[in-house]
Amino acid sequence: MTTMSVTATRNRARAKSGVPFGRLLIPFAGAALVIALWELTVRVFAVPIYLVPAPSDVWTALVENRQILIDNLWPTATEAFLGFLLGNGVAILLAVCFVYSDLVYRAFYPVSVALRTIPIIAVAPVFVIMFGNGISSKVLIAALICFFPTLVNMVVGLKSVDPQTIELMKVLSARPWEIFFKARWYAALPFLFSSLEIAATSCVLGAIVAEWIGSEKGLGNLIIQATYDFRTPFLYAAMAVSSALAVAGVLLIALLKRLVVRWK
Amino acid sequence: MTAAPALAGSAVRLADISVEFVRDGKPFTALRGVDLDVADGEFVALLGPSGCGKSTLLRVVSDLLAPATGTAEVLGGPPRQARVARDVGFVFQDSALLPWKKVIDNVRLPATVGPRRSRQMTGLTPEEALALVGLTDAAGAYPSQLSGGMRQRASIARALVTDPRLLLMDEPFGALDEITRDRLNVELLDIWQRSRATVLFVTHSIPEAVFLAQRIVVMAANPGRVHEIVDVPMPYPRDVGLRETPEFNRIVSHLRRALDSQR
Repeated sequence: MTTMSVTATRNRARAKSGVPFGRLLIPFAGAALVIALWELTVRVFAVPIYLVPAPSDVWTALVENRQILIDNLWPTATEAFLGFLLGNGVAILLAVCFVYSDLVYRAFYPVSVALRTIPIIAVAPVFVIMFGNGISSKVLIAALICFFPTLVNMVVGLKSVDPQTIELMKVLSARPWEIFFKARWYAALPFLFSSLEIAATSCVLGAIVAEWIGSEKGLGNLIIQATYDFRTPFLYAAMAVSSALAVAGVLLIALLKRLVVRWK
Repeated sequence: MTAAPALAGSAVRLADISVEFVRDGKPFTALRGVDLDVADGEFVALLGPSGCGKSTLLRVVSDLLAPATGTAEVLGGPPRQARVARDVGFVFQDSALLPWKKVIDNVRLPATVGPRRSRQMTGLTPEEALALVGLTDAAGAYPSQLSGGMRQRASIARALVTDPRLLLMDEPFGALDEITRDRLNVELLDIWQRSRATVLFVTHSIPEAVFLAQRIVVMAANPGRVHEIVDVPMPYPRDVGLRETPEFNRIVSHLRRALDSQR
């Protein structure tokens, strides 16, 4: 009976992940349809290219400007990545402090939540004034935007551990660091990955917003310049590259989640 | 497995145990003046309504809680000593399996945490323990893939690898359906008879307590205390047919009246 029920649940899990190939194509077909409609509308109504370029115009701009786009992708990617590491790292450490010290939690959690209500677009100029036009202000803004979701999720995640699990560890004479690394940390991982998925897109957003305020390079810089010059197809191309950067981040996190959180 | 000692001493000796909590800012007496002696190798059930402190009592014995007053002696020493020596096994209500570990790794857990000297395993190997509870085929599964009954079997296997001389069970079958519960009761008695460990078993099911235990400690709430201790003078091995005997039903009715009289 034991054998049967285990195999049954495994088969069910396999059936869920084994989506037929045809169904995988559906989202691509949907995207293709939207692009085709866009192209058709722009052409039929003869919309001027500086107002809305057709997808084919955007593609041309992408190909023609690929070197500029790639040269400006790296600074933004670097800022976003460093901001991602810094923001999430500090959030995780602070969450650990919150969970282990009720005093620190009571003192600083409300402040953290209050700070969160300030729009990132309002904070960005402050950071640029404080840290200048270089990479540090961008990293800090990207970090700040990643920080809050991870802080909140990690506090919830670290507290989500089953009280009986803690008791079990104590009965086994586990030391406090073992209770942390062998119980709390794992219990928090699904929560952490949910916020990392959010952070993977928002760190790109943070870097680009920071580049708007003041920068010499980066995708945000390209977007601002293209807007001022009415180079609309190029603006769309820069948007597409920014979006691809965020998508790459999300896919990377999703892959990592599948490798790490295997038990769900 | 440990053989029964030649001289049956006390596995657990509690004298005048009181436990107090602060609940909603007010002091709250979970246990008051509890005296209890459990002999080596004995199977004792703690029976009572919720809030009578039966789970709290297990937490005093397992050194998870320090009593406000009174003395607790476990296997001839303070509870802490028994815990550090891994002489006490604890089976929780919700199995407390770690969801991120496969079943076999959950059973191995006692060998991977705690001070190094505590990790020496003298009992069954994890594989043997899984075989004993009939879970060999589920070794590589994650707990979320198991039924509730299988999870409790796994958590019993985890308790057995430390070869505990005292097994504390906190409503281990409370969340299971009756058919699974009955089957696990028979299996538990079988394991107990082979290991000769002392068992303290918390339950709020009267028939379960009578079926399993040699003695039943009936507890009362507000504050938690021992109301009455009832002997179950029926021989082992016991099987499901026991439930139809007049003796069984006599004890069940007696316990029901004892619990009713508390209201």
